[in-house]
Amino acid sequence: MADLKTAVANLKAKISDKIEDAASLEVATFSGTFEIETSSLIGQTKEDGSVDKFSVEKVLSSINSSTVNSKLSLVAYSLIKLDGDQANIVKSTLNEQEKELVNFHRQMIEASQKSRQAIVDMVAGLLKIPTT
Amino acid sequence: MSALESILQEAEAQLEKLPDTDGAELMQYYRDLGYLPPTYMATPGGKATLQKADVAFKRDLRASGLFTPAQLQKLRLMHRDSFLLEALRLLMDFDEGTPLPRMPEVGEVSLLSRLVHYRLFIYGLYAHKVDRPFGGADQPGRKQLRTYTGLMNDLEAVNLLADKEGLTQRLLRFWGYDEGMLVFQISEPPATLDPEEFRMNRAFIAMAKRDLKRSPQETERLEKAILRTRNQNLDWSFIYAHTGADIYRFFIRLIQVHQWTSGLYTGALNGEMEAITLGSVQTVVQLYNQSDPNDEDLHLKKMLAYLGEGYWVFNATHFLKIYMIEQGAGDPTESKVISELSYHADQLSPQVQREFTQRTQQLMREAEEDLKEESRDVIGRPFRRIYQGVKSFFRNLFRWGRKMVDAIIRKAKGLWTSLREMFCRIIRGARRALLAFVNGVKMVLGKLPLMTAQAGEVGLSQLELTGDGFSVIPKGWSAQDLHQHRKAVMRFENGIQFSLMMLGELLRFAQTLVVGIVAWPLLLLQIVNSFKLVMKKYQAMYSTT
Repeated sequence: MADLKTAVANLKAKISDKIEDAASLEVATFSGTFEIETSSLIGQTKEDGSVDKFSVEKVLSSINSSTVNSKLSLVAYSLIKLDGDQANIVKSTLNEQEKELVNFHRQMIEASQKSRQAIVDMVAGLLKIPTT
Repeated sequence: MSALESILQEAEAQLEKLPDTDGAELMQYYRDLGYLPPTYMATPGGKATLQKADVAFKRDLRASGLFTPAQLQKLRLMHRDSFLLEALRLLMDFDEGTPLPRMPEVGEVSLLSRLVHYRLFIYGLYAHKVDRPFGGADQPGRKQLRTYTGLMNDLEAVNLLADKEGLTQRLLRFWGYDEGMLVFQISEPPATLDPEEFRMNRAFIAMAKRDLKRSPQETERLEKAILRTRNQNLDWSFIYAHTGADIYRFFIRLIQVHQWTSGLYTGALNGEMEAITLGSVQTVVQLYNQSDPNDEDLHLKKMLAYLGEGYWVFNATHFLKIYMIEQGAGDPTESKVISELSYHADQLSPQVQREFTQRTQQLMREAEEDLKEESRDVIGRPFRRIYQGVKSFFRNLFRWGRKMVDAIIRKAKGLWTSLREMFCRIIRGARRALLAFVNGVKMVLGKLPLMTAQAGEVGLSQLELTGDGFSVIPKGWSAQDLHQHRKAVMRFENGIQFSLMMLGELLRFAQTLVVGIVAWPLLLLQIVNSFKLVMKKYQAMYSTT
């Protein structure tokens, strides 16, 4: 097994990279259907016999790909900058379900903000920087 | 594959392998408290019985007043599905057990009455069914307890039973100077104790006089009866009359509970000084002497003497005083023991570290076997049971400090059992800790989407490390479907916060390492440790909100 020190270095590098991208926060909510083949959800056995645990990533990438995007319609999109500036796009005509989705979108923004705060707290804790 | 992914893969493999002992532990507590029949074993057909026990315990817990509604809410928030188990752990602790708010009424059958009976049972003061109505069969035991503790208030006395240190201090103060020399008969002492080597000697007599100096009368009485070198002119009528006295049996019970809670005793709690009890006393003395070269050695011959014809005398006052001195020496936590172990293991040379890794892997395997055995538990084998409480156990291990690593490598007799017990304790909580760790790392690696299926369609949300998030919600979902998904997202987001706090703890620990430990079992210990530390923070947060 690889040693912890190296793994920790990887982990810290990963977090640092991401933190650099965290000057703004984007949240998007789509309405639509996507089809996932069962085989994409189940871990695929690789040539060396190990099981690829993260095949779900392929699912994500397929959802993000242009081939599938056509099936999705954007209901709400928010861009929030660290200085507090905020931009929101909401679909102009909303049916009942989409109105609910806008509420859900707001909650996703809150969840995203908390999640980012957790990362900031973790990094600050490692560097022993007090946060408010 | 990066080092991080390799650790993640190992963690996931371990997660699949680790025995899930929560169910067995819960059933054991239910059996102990009479919510399940003593002979109940988990079978598919017995599921309804277990559900009934769950319902009855929940009802009794709410009505008991043992926890405030806010405390119960906190337990639920923190422990979710395993909150009943956590509540039971707090109630069944013998180091810092939850105090009962009141004594049950006569005729009452409740969680309070069951706990009173269980605590009396553990100390040999009650031998009936735990779920009998309060106030009948328990009267003699409560009376005895009042005598032993000198407390007239039943509630105070019963709560003292869940505070082992307090009970020991009280017993020493009331009885230690008059009845602390336990005379007992044993037909077969452990093979490691040769009676002839333990004939009464000056060292034993001197120690006894020192321990009894506050009671000159008792000293004089014992001097006439048994404190005589080479057993000359022993007073056999005194010996016969005192052997097996009730107060002696209570002392022995207390010693057995101390030994049990230190992970050094797996025999029955029966108040009998049998070979297994005496053997564990011998072990604790050896361990004490091996652990810290700066402390004065203990000598068993100063505490134990052979009188002849199978009769012995044990200076329980002295033995229990040692426990109390140890306990007064601070409160080393599980966290400190694990950090100490990791810190010293980190500094080993690669070759020695390999040996150390093999040994810890062996400990892990043996602990897993113990837990599997435990889940097959328990009928007819009363005390291979889980002990709740950590203070004395970890204090015992903490004494070893740097030498703990050497002791693991050479598989030191005596300590090995304690270490195995430690691994058992760690593994019991490891599944939740590992899951939180795996989720935290996946979050960092960007591999943690949340999908829920409602009405046959899948909705997906993902939160990323940068804070970005996106969701795809099926067009056909109703408001109710969306509500279910929203609840799952909230739980998911809470889980992520917890996992990240835990990773933070782990990274902080890793920063202190010089080389970087390689042994998986040690990393597992550290993951569990980080989990517990974050749990404590959460507990503090919930206490103040």
